Amino acid sequence: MTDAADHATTAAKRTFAPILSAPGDGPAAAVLTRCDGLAALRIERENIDDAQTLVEHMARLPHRWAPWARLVQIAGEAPVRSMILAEADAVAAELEELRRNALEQKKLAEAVQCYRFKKEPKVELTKGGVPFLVITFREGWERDRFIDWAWNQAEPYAAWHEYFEQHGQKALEKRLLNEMIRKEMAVKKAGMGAGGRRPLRFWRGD
Amino acid sequence: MNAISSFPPHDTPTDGGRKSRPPSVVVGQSYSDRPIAFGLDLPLELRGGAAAASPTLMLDLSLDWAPDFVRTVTEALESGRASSLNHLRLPPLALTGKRGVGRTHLCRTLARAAGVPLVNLDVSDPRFGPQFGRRGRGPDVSVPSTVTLAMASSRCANPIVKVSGIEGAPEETLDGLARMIDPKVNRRYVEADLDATVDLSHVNWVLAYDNPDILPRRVRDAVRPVHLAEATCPTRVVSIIMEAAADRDVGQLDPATAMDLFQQLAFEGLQTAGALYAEACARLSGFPLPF
Repeated sequence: MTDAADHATTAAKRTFAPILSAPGDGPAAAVLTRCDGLAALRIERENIDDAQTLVEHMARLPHRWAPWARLVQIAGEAPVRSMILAEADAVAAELEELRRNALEQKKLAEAVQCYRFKKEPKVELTKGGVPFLVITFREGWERDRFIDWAWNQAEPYAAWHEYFEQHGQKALEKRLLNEMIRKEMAVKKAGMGAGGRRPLRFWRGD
Repeated sequence: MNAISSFPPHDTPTDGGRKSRPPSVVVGQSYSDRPIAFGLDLPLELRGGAAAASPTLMLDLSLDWAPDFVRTVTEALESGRASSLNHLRLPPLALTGKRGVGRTHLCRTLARAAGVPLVNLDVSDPRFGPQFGRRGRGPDVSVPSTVTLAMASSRCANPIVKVSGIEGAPEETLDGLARMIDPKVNRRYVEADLDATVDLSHVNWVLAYDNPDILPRRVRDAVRPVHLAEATCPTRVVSIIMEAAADRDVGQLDPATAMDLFQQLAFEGLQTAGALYAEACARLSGFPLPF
């Protein structure tokens, strides 16, 4: 169910509910409205977007609709208006926090990582924590030779995952090792190689 | 304009600008030559017509915390309007729920809004028992039932009578109560001390108890149960502040005082409606009493 449909269902069961009022000739407002159409409280905003946002924030607090409206009966509109705006601000902050967390989770879920096994001569590529390629070497120094190249790649690992999806594990492994050798040769030719078994040991990317 | 003033007041219905008189009914009927005391042979008003006619009566009250009560009363009022009834008439209600949930508050709020008197009857009080069907012997004077006296003194045939203390009432009292409530016999309730029968069929009964099994079967069958869930809802606090303010004739509170009072009561951890009411009254003690 969408947020709007959900709100409509909740509102139908309640005595009070917030609605948007946007008359052509007047200011836009969030209106706490009684089920018979009577306005319990009206909060005007500068424009329709602000009013809509306020309505959406109020809609997230259905347990507060009746208390807000009833408080108006004893305290008048002004203090209740301030109370609603403060609570709506808290909702906005909470939503922003949720949005940030969701974004972070999404990033984590989409992140492609390249891990080096410490005790085994292996390298693992994962997306969202799920491995999609494990390259096994015979010696530890072979693994480190690969890592010297892989960890200094300017190309994001996401492209490797795309290649894996299109061509499979074997092709990706072959491509990565070939690129590593090509880079080693280029660095050596430029006189920048470290020599020995790990020519890219001091290379820090292009 | 603030919302309270935009809620229409429930007043006596008007007829071409003139307030029309509420309907009335004679409830007393003598079965001896003796005239009936307390003017019970004269018409008593049936009140609450304007309130009952208003489809927004229950919406105007801050009773959102008692949705079953609001629904039951709303349905009863709708049914009354459908049959062109022009006074407050509710089915006998049985309010169940924890002690202090706010039954008296509900009854007082409804009675005030509808403009009918409220009679509080504690049937566990031993003085209540002898009211049922016993004549005074020798020089001892016995008196009619509290309900009849309340009707006579308020000149209203349809008060709300809230009955409490049912759990502690003796069987004889419960039998008498059953005769008062049972719609099959309460049109001719015998008041032996008056040598008369009194029509109690217009009374709006509200029974407050926890255990439905202790009621005589004919009462149990006649009442409509309404359960009140434990409420810590802010609307109950608002409603109780309104009650306290109205009792002290405070009128409209200034915004700062009202918000302050609400914040204090809502977050003070007071559980029972009685405690909230007492506290609200104490906090409003700076305001003059209406008497």
